[in-house]
Amino acid sequence: MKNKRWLSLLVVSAAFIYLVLPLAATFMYSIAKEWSHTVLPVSYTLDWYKELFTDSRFLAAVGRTLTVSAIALIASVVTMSVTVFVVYMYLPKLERFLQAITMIPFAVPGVVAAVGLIKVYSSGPIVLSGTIWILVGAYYVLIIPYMYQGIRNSLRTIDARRLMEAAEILGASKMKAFLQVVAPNIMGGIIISALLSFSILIGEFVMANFLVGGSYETIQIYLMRQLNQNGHLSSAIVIAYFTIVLMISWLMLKLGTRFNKKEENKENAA
Amino acid sequence: MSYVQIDQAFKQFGKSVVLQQVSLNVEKGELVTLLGPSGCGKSTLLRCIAGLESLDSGTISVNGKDISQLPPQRRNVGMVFQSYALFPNMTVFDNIAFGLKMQKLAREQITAKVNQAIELVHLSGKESSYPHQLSGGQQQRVALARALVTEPDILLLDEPLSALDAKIRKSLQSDLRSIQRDLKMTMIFVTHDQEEAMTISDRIFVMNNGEIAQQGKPEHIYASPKNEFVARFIGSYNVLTGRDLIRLTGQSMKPGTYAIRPEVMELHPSGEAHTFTHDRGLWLEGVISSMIVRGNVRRYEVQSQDVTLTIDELNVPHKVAFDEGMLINVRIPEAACTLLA
Repeated sequence: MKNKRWLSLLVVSAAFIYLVLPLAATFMYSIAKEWSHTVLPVSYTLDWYKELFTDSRFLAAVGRTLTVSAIALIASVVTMSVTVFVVYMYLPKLERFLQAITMIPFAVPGVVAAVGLIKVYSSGPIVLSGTIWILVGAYYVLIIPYMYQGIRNSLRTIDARRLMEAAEILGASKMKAFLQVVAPNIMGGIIISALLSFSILIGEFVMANFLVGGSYETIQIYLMRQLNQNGHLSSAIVIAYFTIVLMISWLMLKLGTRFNKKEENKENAA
Repeated sequence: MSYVQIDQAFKQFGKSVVLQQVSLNVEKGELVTLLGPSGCGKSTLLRCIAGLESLDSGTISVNGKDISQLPPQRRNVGMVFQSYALFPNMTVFDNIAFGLKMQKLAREQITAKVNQAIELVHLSGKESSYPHQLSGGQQQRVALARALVTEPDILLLDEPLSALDAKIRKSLQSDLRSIQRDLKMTMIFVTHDQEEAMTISDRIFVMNNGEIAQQGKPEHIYASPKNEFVARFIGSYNVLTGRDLIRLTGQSMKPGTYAIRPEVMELHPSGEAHTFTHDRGLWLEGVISSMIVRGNVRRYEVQSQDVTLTIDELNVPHKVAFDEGMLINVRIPEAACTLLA
């Protein structure tokens, strides 16, 4: 028994070191002033971060990524929650069909999708190539599976059908019942799906590079370009980038456990 | 004309017919129960009354007004669901106030009515709790208050107590009944539990396969089931053919199917002195195959040739229970054999 515990501790530690070491090294490099022949850096500096956060190109790139992701996310939240709700409530026969099409983005590799999109949208009737809208569209499609699953699970968890019926019998129109009863109760699920989608979008490189690479520098493309120029600076970018994703994941986890706790309480009370 | 009148209600889902020309009447202030096994159409009928499902043909009228074509919002009915269906994002107060807000009542009026309803269901002090902080019984009280506070013409209850444990169920049954009497509220109650139906109803409609198998007062339905389905469903009756009875008792009977209540048969030790001919009633011999104590009664399974009989006996201390495997004589009073249609 004691041996086993020792072994598992060893395995976990090894895995932890394996995962953390590169990150730690990157972090060290991002705050190193001079580091060539020693195990640890000779001197430290925060200059790379200062340079990064004062670089207008970096800030613009962050702004662009946020803009594109936000547009895609908002469009997805609004359209998907209504679509999934309507199908769940009134067209249950279409549910399998909807589930099948929402899985397509998983099946199509990013490169294939990007090349296809460029082909379709570079000549009439709709020309989107080179504009941010082609990326917004691609991002919208990319996050559909996550949004769909999240929203559908929330609807099931709260038994949205029964809640709608109860609200309608009490005199609420369908619209009021949705806005006052269903929407507030699936909001937790929607926020979690949106955050998950967001963390996927800011990590996405293939689509961004292929579709708008030259004309619209997002954080991903900026990072790619900096990698070839300055190791310290690109390390700082990676760490900044990682911190953002970490914060989002932490927020998701927090919201997730809050959501689960509510469910648990419900079960305990019943 | 009755207060609630359902005329020739017909409904099918795809190819399966769920309601076959059901007609029934409910008087004002009456509590009736739709009783039947799952899939008999009772819940569908209730949902049609509420407007959550539409009838394929037939009419439903309340207080002389045909409501069959109205959306649920305009039917002025209340409904309580088995799963409570409370709004998880709202407090007890807001849940109950929801219907009144939809009616656009003034705030003071809403507060007064909600407080009154909370008192009615004994939930004072829980106004600002959320549903997930309440027990099942309390949640169902909130659901009841929420449905009652809008003063509906009829209150529909779809197996409201089925998810609760026995003790809470019993106490809510009696609360529900007394609230119903106080408010003189017309209620239609759906359940698959015959004991519950017997306890709370003014009248029972026993449903089977989308039809009403029998209707009447609880005591009437229990005492004289019309057919085999009702006899079996309502009180674990023993259902035997006349031929079986003749074979087992050696006495002549009219042909047909007979229902015998488990509590009317008497058990006598096999060696006990009695004369079969003088003692009125039908006598048969059997072996005790099992005995279960169900609180105040002992339930015996008695094997007599190829027929198994269920016999209930009051569980009183001075009367010694029969052991499994014992040979016994069973007496059935002749009047207790109900000939079924």
